Amino acid sequence: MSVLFTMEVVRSSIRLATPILLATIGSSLCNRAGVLNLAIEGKMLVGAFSGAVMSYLISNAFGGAVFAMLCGSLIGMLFSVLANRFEIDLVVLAIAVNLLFGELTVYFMRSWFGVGGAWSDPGIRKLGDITIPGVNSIPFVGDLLSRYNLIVYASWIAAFAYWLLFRTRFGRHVLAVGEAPEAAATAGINVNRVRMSALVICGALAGLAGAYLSVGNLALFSRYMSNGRGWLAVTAALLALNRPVAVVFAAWLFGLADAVSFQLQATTDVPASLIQFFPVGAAFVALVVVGVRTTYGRTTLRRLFRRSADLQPTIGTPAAPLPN
Amino acid sequence: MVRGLAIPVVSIVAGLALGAIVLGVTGNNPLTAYDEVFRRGFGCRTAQSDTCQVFFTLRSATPIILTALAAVVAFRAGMFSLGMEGQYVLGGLGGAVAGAQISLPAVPHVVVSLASAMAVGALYALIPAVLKVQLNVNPLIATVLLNSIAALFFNYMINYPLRSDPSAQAYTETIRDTARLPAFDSASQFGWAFVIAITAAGLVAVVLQRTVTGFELRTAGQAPLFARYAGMRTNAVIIRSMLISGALAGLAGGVAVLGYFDKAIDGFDDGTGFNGLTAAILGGVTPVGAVLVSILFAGITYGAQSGLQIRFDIPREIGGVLVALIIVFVAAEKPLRRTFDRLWPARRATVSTLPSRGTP
Repeated sequence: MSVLFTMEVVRSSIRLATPILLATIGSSLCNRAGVLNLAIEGKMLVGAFSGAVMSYLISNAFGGAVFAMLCGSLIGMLFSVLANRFEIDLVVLAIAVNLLFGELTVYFMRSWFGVGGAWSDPGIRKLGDITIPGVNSIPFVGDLLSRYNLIVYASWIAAFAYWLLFRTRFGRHVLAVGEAPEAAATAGINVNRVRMSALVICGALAGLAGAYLSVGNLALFSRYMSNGRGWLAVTAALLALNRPVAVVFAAWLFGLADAVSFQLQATTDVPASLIQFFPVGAAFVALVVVGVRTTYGRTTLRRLFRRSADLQPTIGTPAAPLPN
Repeated sequence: MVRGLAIPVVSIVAGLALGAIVLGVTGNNPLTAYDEVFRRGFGCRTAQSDTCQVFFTLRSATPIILTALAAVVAFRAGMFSLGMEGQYVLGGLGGAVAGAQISLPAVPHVVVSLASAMAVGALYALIPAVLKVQLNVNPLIATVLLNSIAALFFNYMINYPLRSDPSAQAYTETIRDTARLPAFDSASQFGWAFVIAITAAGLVAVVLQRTVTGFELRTAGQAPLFARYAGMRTNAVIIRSMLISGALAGLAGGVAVLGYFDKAIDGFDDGTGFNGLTAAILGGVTPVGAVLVSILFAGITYGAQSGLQIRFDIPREIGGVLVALIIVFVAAEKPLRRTFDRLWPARRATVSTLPSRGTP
């Protein structure tokens, strides 16, 4: 059991939590703005692929990561325009887009690089670890905080920014648009623009999360690389009730489950699929806990929460007003 | 009727148009690609075998038809469940186990095995149903997570406890001959499975439109407040519809195992559940639409897989890409419908503004 709680496992959990944290912040932001964004999985995949390709083309991993963010935000903008101008159903679009990017990335991988499973090439650069000079020498804390790559630190900055956000004017606009769009509009807030910003930022974060997968750690792209992490992020955002500090813990929880599962796979004989069950199982339990809290919990939690249950599409049925 | 068909047709055409752009961008000729895909998917060219290609398509379409029906039932009841994939996989596992472990004469064995598959699927669908009804858990996210869990469980089971052969690929024990679902044509494996799928479609259509259960289901989906006011116990209705949906998806798995693979094999989780789901949406969430669109999707995917890569060096993923592009346009249903209404307004009953005879 003691083999599970080494510094290495903790560091690994922080690293594994990074893409989930970035995507969770994006998802929380969108949820707060009243947009249920389910295409995070697809955006992560696009980020991973575009990051790898750009890193290969310009032999620079940082450029790859930036390009991934750009692609993600473009998709976010596209979603926003489609939803606002053309009233496209975002949930069906999200499902379609997740499927589309899954197949499309493999299609391009095969067309351009000739491989169908995983593409790796010495030309793809990955990000190196950054050693923070002063902090690194501190015995325990140094190991905890130093020698991660750029995107890990970016995720911490993003978490801090998310915490700051609601003290800014834009953040308060987001809250207003999410809770009472008509009131916000009457007060003069451009609801569509706020939602667009949320989707664009979420896309950028998801793109960066994807870039971490491909050029952060490894230097390759494999088919369906995001592997459900987008959905873990959506669940983490729900579990954290979209709150700034809580999202860090929720995302880290899933990172920890992932790290423990890797450690168990390496040190014991327990079958891989049983161990890989941990992160998803944890997510499912989290979802149920959220359900219990909102049904039987205090009224404030219930109000904060109703959004996620209400934001459902109505395929095959005309939109029915839900009892409040 | 024409208006109902118009939107799916526009989605298909638009999806194919975008797909042509994707093909063009990577240096392939869309016309030759599409010609090949449709010929191989729906044609009768006897290239490698004596059967028409279309039978291969129908064979592939069968499990998709059943998962599409599962989606139709769930969506009509207002449950946006994506859980068909997990129910399909577990249903297949259940069918494989029943087919291999039980000993019965031929016809009862098939029935019992299929029933096991349906039961497993139904039970797995019960989980998100109860969570939604009791705890108001968002079924979309719950079913996505449950799909992952089902896939992991399936992989574990076929690799360890139920593994029959320590060779390279993992699979469970082969089902006994008495459990096999016979085929009319051994080359394409087109057979009773398809008959079951079409029968199921008919049953779903009848139940939805002409029975009390169907009426309750549709009302719970369209007007839950009204349903409750009228005394329908919507919670029970939702649970019942998810059980039916899960049973259909489980049946899809059972039919695939008993009719095609003879065992639960590694790689069984190939996205059939998702294909059925998207087919249902494109087909307007109706049984007839589900059948037609499932066949279309199967044809495109099979057509792309079976020849494009070898003959023209076009990656076979283009099949999936085309299907996904078509679905993208399904998301545009509302704006498309508005455009249609503007271009071809439906005839409305006109309220007469002339004074009627009896009034002063």
